[in-house]
Amino acid sequence: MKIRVLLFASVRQSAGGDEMTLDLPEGTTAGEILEMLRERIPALEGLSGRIKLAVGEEFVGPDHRLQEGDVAALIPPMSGG
Amino acid sequence: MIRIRREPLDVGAITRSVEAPGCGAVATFVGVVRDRNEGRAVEMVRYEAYESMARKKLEEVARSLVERFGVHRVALEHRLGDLRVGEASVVLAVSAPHRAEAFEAVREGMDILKSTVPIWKREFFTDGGDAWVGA
Repeated sequence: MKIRVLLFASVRQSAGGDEMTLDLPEGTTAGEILEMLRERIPALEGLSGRIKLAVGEEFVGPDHRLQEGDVAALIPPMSGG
Repeated sequence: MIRIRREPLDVGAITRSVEAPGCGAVATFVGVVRDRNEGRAVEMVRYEAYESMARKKLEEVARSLVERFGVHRVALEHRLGDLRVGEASVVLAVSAPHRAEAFEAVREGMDILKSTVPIWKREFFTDGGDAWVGA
């Protein structure tokens, strides 16, 4: 299944792009995606445990299963306000 | 009114926008860009956001303040882009019958905003360096 992953803030800066497209087995979980991206994006190493995943503009837990066409986003520690 | 914008925030207008009959209290919080952070002098801060999700989350913050504290109206505006020291980054105003719930709602609203709204601040220091806050 194809998933778009939007990148923001320090992660976008480190990865050098706004988004990535991943081709994954059906039912891959959010936790598995974070694990996978940790190996591909150096900035994620230092943020381990503090990166969240959003899917369809909602935060999801590690066991959430993604579906074809989902738009995910890596959410580094937020600092609004 | 819940808004994300790049222009300077009008604190007075946002405060007036929540006035409502039956409300004896209007409480407003203004977040202002500070001149120092962790000992370093700040030149400028840049706010960026996952805008569509941030808008949704700001609306959720506002709704939860009405539900949990019984405030009548909520206005919440966050600015994005490059801000100088002294400029307002966020304004949260609520109106309520009495001041107790108005104060509580503003305090809690800012706490929730900071932990759930996908907005990020990058500080640029006078010494030339920069850092993403919280990273």
